[in-house]
Amino acid sequence: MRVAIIGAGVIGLSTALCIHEQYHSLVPSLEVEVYADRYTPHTTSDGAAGLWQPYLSDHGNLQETLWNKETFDYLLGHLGSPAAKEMGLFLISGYNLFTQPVPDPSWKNIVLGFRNLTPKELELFPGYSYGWFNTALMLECRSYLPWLTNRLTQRGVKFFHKKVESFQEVSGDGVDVVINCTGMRAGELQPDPELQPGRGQIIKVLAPWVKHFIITHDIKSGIYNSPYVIPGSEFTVLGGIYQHGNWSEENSAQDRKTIWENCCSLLPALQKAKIVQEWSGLRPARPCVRLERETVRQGHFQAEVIHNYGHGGFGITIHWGCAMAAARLFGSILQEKKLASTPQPRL
Amino acid sequence: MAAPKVAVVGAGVIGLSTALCIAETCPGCSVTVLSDQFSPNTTSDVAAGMLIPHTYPGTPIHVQKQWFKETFSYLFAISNSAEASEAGIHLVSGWQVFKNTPKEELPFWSDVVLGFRPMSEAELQKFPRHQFGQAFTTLKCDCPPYLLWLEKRLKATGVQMSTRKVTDLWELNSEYHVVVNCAGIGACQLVGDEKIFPVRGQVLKVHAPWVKNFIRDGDGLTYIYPGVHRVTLGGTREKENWSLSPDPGTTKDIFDRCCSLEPSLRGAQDIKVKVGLRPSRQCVRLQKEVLSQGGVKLLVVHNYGHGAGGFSVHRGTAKEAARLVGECIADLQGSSSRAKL
Repeated sequence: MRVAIIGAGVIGLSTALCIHEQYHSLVPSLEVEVYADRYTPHTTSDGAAGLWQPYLSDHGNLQETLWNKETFDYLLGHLGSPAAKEMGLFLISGYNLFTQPVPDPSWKNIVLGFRNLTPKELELFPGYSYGWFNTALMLECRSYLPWLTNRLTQRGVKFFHKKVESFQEVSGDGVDVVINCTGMRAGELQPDPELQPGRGQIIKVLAPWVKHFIITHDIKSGIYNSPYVIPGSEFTVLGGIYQHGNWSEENSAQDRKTIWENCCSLLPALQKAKIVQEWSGLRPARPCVRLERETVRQGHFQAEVIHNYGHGGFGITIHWGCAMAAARLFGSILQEKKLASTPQPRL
Repeated sequence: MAAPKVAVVGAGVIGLSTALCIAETCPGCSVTVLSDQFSPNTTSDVAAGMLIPHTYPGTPIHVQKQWFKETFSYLFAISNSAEASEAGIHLVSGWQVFKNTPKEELPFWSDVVLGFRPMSEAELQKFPRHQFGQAFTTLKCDCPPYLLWLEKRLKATGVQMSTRKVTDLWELNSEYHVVVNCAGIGACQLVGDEKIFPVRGQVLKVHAPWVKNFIRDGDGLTYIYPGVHRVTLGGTREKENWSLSPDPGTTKDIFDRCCSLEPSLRGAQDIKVKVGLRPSRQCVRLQKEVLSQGGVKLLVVHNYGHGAGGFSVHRGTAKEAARLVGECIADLQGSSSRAKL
């Protein structure tokens, strides 16, 4: 039983691990392979700051809220383990700021210590009149993806450095199930007009005195189009760009100016921070995550595909819940194949 | 009277902040800081500099609260400015956890720090050996940066700093009108105060930049305080122990205790061990004293004995000391005593 995962970002690698962990003892012949043209540190996931935080509203998508919770609880359980540091996993507290009162988010009881900001705390952030404080998690992909890669390598998972041009390319080669974790470029394997880039740009700085995340919100401009500051274990990420439909992965001088000025206005101490790097990436945005099975047919040819893409700006936040859901779909494919391949006694 | 000359003995956080307050409130004064040690060799340099007050049994609570409030407001403003990184001042959130619920669930300072509240059940799960906890956000003054920043501000206002070991306040009588005693634990010898005693603290300063929250055991003995570049792990409270040498057994014990609160610290790198002697006293000695010797008077303002709480109240006590210095100068200007110099 050969399974090919296409894509080696946080979604691809975690799905591969989840499937291998759950099924390798049940299916002795299980062979898991990862195909990707970009590996860490060159994936979209690597550019993310790594803060666990869903969007403000789940738009009634309760399943996604559940996957977010599963991810948080899974990561929280790993916090005390010796692996945490290697995974790039740690607790972090911080602020969400608004210019007007807003309803509590779907994730208020998932994170730790969620509460509204006091008037004195709001004095820190002139221009913002309402906000939340909570403790959440950071999962830095520049550590997490190598950690996942090590776990997978230890388990005998094989990695291939190639750009897959079609599902048939892998399934025609004898692969039984293809897991499509191609993120932004899923449209190249199968057109999906609902998948659009949510372009982001960030500036990485050295500002080790910043110990809290600060995410501002401008309801009019939309998510991530308002400044944010996220301190990592080594660098602090400054951001606040979300451009729907913009495919450019080039850094924009205008965006850099916007980020820098807005973040320095939010945290004056940042004026003294040293700029280390700039980066742009495309959030694989979709009205909802595409996580479903599909039997892809072309002529005589048929491939069992599990799609797991379209996680927008919350891939890290939701990844484990989705990996588990993809693994369940894989389990159902296994069930069907068993039924198909086990000869039934005829009466 | 010519420009009043004020000597401040001691260059830790108390001496430097007191000198700064005097320069701010008495622009006509000539202020000199005298100390045998400057940063990075003061007791203050060893401290984590967390704004979590120590309770002095001998000082009224409302006075301690006022000192803390003034200090907190002062530092809060700096943390929110472009100077924050140079001054080493930053906000930090975290938890104080108790193995047994304390009798006083609301400390006197709970409404001065930010967002003070009891920890939720979910938060307490991270601390299986602890039953109760408080979550809040406070400020941290990293040293040496904070002391160096104070020194820079002092130089800018014309305050002189001089390395000099003062063994007797009377040495300064001929050169200065007022002497401010911020000698910390040095006051034991300097003014023969039997009420001050060291409480030895050993700490580890480690590289663990993923630790973003503070954790403190309510017993005050075990704590994890993330600073700008290093995390301070503590500690000990050894009364009457004058030894400044790090003890290896203590180092291991501190490390183990902190790792049991925060297991990821096992991965901490580059462990540096430091020792400081908290200048402890039932109450902070913050008062004027007129010393007399052979008909000659020496005006002294004492500001020492802050023990474990120096950073938490430094600005508040510095302002009070500066006010007392102002009174001394007014007395001198009004009196008909022999002019000096």
